[in-house]
Amino acid sequence: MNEPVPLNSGPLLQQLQDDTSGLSNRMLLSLAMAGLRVRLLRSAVTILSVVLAIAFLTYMGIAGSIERNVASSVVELERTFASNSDGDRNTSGTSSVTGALNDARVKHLNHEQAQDDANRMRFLLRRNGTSVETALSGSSTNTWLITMALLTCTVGVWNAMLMSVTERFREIGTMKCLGAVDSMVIKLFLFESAFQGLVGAIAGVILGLVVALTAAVLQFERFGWTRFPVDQLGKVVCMALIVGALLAVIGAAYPAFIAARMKPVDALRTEE
Amino acid sequence: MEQSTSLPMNPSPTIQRDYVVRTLGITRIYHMGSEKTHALRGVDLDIFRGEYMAIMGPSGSGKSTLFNIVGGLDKPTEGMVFVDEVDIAALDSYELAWLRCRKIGYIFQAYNLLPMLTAIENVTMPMTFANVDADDARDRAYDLLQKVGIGHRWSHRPGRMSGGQQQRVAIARALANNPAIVLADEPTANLDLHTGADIIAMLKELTQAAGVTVISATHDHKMLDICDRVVWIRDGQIDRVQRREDLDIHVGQIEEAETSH
Repeated sequence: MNEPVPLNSGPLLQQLQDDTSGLSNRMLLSLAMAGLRVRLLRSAVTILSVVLAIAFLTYMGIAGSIERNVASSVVELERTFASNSDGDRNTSGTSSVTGALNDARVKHLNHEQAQDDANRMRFLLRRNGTSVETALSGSSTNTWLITMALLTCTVGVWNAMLMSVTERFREIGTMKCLGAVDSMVIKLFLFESAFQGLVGAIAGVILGLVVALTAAVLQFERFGWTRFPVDQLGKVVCMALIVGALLAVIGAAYPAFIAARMKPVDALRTEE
Repeated sequence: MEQSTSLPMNPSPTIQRDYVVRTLGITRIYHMGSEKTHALRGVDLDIFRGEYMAIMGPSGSGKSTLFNIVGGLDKPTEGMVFVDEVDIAALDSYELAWLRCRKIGYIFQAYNLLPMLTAIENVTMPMTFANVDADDARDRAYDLLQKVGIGHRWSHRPGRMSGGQQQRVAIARALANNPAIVLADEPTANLDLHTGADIIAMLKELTQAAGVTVISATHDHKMLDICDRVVWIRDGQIDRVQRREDLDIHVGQIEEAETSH
């Protein structure tokens, strides 16, 4: 009775080949969301670390360009009143028409205004420990600071996701018993982390903008408003969002791999 | 009394005679550093379709290893394991996941429901893994929850259910994809006597109606009482296989009535 050894050609294998097994991304996403809801406090802490890193990134980006804008308007204003005073000399020599006199008076007023602004901005820059030249040249220490902040945050996410994986061994094992394949487990954890990263990045961008604006107004008075880098805003926000999601995914990559490699037998272990 | 391992055991007359599980000479060796531990040393076991089989043995006997291998959770070092005519020892992890999803239902001692999902979502999950249409899956999950008697709690999360209720959800989940085998690992160990009896009665009723084979690792006499056969494992080998009629079961203890067939 031991002799009939059926080979792997049964109906099961046929079905297996026909089947394109998988769980839709939408389902995985809602599963990831449910997981985050249950562990709300922990995911909030993970999100917080992303918030801080991205707020820092946004702040550095915005504050840097405000400083640069202020410095470059100093240069611009000084150039204009330099050329204006040349023009004054020319016009005063050739014309005595009343219109020209009015023009000159307006120019003179603008001239004084511009000079005041430029001097004020120079002073404010100096008060903040920088100068027109340094602000324009941009500093490489900032880049290092930002990189370090992002790295620290990635390690934080890594740690949080590793904990999440070890805590959920039984859960993952159960899912594998029910038929989850490795790629689903990986996707589940990456989705979870990417979502946390994105939420953290959005909150971080808002926080960073608020802080950067407040600081700009405190440091540069009304120039903080008027020299606000509207053109840079979109770029900085987009970059912050992408970086936030990306660092969360990078941090989750190894933990997700660990989770996927877990054996379903572990689900049978009864200890909590 | 020692039985050579693959003697044909007479199944109960009510049972169809085809096999749902057959193992041929499976061995399982665990490597711990340079040391080798033989968890199983050549086990041949046939389990008939629709049968209730209990696996018993002292801890360290290889009982769990056999249970896991039959359930597609572990692979033998040598030998073949046929589940529904497919040698699962030869499957890769992707194919094993497929098999676990569609052919095997699991019932755990600690229920193992996913805490973030509601009862009905827990039952739907294996069907989602099997690509069942979402609406169909939901309907079937609801039917199953009704059958196990907790249809009214379909929207509750496991944290808000008693052990007995959670195990009912787990039974519904195990049956979701119409499996050929249900593996039950001490399904009543965490339950009180009365609830355990309810769960066992329900399991018997539902699996018999569907012609499902149940393989159980258990010491619960109530569970053993409904088993068709009991496999005793000792030192990684089958010590003996007994039919229920040959077992003398008392409340609280299990004894052999007569061992010589």
